Amino acid sequence: MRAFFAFILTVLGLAALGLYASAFIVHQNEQALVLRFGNPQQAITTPGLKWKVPFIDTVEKFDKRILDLDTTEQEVTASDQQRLIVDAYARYRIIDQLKFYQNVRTEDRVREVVGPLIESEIRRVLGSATLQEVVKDKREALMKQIAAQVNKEGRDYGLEVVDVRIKRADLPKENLVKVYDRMRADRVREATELRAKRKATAFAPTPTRM
Amino acid sequence: MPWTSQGGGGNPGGNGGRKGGGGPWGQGPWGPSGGGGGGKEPPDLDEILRRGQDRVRQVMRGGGGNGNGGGSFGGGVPKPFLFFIAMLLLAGVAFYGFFFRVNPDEQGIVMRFGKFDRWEPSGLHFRWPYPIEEVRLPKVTQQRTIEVGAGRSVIGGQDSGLMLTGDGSVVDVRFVVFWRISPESDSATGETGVEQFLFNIAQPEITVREVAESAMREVVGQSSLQPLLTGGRQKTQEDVQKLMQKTLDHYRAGIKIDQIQLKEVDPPAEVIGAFREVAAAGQEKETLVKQAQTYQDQVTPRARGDADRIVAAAEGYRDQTVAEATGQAARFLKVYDEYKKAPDVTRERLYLEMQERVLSGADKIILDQKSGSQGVVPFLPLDQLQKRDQQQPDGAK
Repeated sequence: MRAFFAFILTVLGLAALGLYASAFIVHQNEQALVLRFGNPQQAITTPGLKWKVPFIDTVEKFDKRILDLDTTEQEVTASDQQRLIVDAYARYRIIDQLKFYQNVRTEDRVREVVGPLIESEIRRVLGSATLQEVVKDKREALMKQIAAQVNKEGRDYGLEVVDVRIKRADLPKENLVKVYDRMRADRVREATELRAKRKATAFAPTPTRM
Repeated sequence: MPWTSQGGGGNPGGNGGRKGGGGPWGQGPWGPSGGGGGGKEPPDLDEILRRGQDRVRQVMRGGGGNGNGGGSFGGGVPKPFLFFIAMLLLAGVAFYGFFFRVNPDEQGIVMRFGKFDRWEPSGLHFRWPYPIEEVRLPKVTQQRTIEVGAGRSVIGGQDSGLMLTGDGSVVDVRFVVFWRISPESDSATGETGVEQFLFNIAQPEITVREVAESAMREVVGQSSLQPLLTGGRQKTQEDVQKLMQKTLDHYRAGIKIDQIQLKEVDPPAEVIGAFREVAAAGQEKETLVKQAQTYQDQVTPRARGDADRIVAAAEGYRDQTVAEATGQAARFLKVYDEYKKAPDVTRERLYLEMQERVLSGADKIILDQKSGSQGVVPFLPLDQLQKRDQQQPDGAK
């Protein structure tokens, strides 16, 4: 009787272990790559309960959501020799799990590998535009251009780059000081003008009431 | 309230499971972005628990007999009672394994084997225990805020609010974004906002912040300085909101931007003095204009009085002059009438009158042409003659 119980327990335990080893859950926000001794078997993009061969297949899971990539601040020289501090971000998602696994594997590596790609693309595109175009006239178009190019390059890493946007495009410190000087001069001129005008207004003959 | 019913069976087991979002819910794969963790536990649970334990101890002591019971529990506890406790614990665990609570500000998202299965409104709901079903409880009604630009005027600083305007100036902007999980569903894909928020976007807070920074700089870059500082606030807010919404919709982020609120839009600290100077000059101008007007109001009535007086005097003078002239004209006409009657006599008389008038006031020496042939020479110099005349009163005058 005791031996029977032990047997039953063992069978149940083994069954549980088998189930545990052969089933895995892919969440709604995940995708997975099944590897058989390191050999890619299938890419799973739909969520739910999935099966694998126990102890032989291993599963690599990846995020399916739109992920964040923040580039480092960098100095860019516009085509009119104006210098700009540019900070941009990208949003991407993993679309080719195998390529992603082979090339970068983790989000941190994406930051290290694709980040510089984006940065150089920003330098290239903004370097061909004037400061005025970057800040005012063609910002949207320039960002689209960068995103399109980065998206093309990102395919090699299994990424779809959804968007690249310039977070900041500001003047470096030294230039900012010059801008401040100019703004101050403008204001001083305005103040002087007001003071001069007030004299004119105050002493002008009023042709009213005659 | 659904949770008060839990007081009966499941306190000891449930307390822990509900509290630390990690328990049977398995937050694992989501990381920190997990929207809603466990809800707040009812405040009286601890109290109930403690009271329950006290009662248990009392019962135990009573059962164990007075003699040896004090130090060691369990030794004398009756078996049915232990069984009862175990069942109670089991029931508690089972309850928390099979049911979950959705607060009014939450929405329950049930996933079966990781796949989205159904959503539940607030209340108590059934679920299969982990790992079959998992529940996410995002706070869907909560309005969230993100403040951007709190770094203020620090050049190149973290979260700097400095940005370039379209006319090459720099402005310091601080603003707050009000956003929430979108209550609408995506018209293109049919996904609800909650689904997109949970399953489609990583790190929503960072995303909103970055999109906000980008959008604000884009809008500010297209405006010039003056409207930003003065009248253009409303438009700036609306434009940024629109641009942000457009970008987030493009990401299918399930985020709705309720409002953008510009807290401060100032010139950078370095130049704010100059702006104040302009304001001061404007004030000064107003003051001086006011003062001048006051002076004008004082002076004008007096001047007007003076003018009236002068005009009256002038009119008097005019009347007088005209009357005089009229009189003289009348006299002249009378003389003319006389002249017409006897021209020779009158002419002679006029001539003599005139001579009399002209010569009466002048120094004169009258010489008789016939008296001497030497002419005037003996008498020269004539003015000496006059002096001699004054000494000799018989002079010819």
